[in-house]
Amino acid sequence: MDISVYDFERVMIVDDTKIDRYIATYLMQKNNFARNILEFDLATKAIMFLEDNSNNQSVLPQVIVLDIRMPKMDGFQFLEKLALLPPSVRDFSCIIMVSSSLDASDHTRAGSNPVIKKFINKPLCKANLEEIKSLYREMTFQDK
Amino acid sequence: MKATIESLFYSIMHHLRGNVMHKVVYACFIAGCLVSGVSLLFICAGHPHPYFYASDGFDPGLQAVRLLSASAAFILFAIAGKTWNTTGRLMRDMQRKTELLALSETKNEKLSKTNTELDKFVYSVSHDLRAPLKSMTGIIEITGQESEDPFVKEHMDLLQESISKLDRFIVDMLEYSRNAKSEIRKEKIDFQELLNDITRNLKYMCENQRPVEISLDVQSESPFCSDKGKLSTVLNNLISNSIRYHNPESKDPFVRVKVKTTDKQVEIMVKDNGIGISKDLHDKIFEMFYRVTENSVGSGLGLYLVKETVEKLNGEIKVDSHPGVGTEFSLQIPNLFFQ
Repeated sequence: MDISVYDFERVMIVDDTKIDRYIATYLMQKNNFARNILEFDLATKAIMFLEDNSNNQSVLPQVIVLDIRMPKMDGFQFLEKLALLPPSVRDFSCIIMVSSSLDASDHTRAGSNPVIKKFINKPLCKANLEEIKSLYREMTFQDK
Repeated sequence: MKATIESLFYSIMHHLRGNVMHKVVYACFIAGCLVSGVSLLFICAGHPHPYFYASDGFDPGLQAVRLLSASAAFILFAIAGKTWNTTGRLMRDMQRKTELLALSETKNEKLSKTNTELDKFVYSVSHDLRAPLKSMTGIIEITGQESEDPFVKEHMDLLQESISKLDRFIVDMLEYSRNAKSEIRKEKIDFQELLNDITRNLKYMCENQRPVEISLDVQSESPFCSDKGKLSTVLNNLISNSIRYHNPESKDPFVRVKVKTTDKQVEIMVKDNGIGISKDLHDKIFEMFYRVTENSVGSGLGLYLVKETVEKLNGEIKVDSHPGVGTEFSLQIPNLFFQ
């Protein structure tokens, strides 16, 4: 039985690059950031998971770490699809965008989308996890 | 679109002129010639044709008038024909012009499409080149933090150094291609804000080394307009150079940025007490791919980019530097606010 204290019960990572998912997972496990990490290599699979579990908040992730450039469906398209889901899913997770894009339009697009709580330049580091924690606290505090 | 319609109009007119009108004019011209020729013939032959006789007999005056009118008709038709020809040529020229205009329109459309495509391509390539580097950085960070072995830590630092160098190179190439496009975007610039942004981003650079003190002095005597992106590239490169090439033996490494805007231009001074550059190299530092020292960590593009960009903004840049004392870049960029 795992008795350690974790910052989050469930965190979702959506990234097509295996090594980047590995880095994120490693950091999260090492720093007791998340008890369960849901890894998805495609945004389409991730959105399907959320759709299937829209009535089951006990499995929904508190934080979604989302890459921008992915095949089939990119990060922004994922958010568009997410916006169409019921509020129980749509407003549940704290969304963090990660990318190594230098394209200013990606940055402004992410900045102008209120759903995205933070844009992080890759690679993810320990300091980013602390930031995510305080952002999540802020988000849930506003809701109450 | 407008050019296409115009071109169509001219080509219809041209066709009309060539086929219908031309035949009419030609027929009139032939008729005129025939009339005057026949009258001339009859007069010369002295033939007593009824046409040349008044009811009361031969009238030389009337004959002269008729001859003259026939010649006048001939001349008139000739002039009309000539005029029509000239008009035709003018029209043809105009048609050609509108056709060229239409051609340049489509070419422009194609060019701007190519430009956007190239932009996308450059961003995609730079992203795809950087993404693996970022992953490597992530793994290196994890490994370095985990290991107690000083050698592993050192090796990870060396790896990271190489990766940062390659990453900088990619970013510089991206900026170079962005700058190569000629258009200058006119925007209002708040230097205090711009410099705050730049220095905030550069703070991360100093994390692993002794902090270099950055001081800003902005005097705004006039509102200022220029290309914000390009100016940001220039300042970013100059200030990051000052940090990167600070003097490790100095007790208080600093960078001082002084900005003064007037209604004509902005004067910017970036001064440091870094390692400096000897005088005989001052001309070379702005050359593409030139690097001052063998172990310099840059791509050799930074200052080249600075000079290119300053020139694109119609500005000037000068360098004053002494080894072991420091470097001072001073530049002037015209103010586009009143233009």
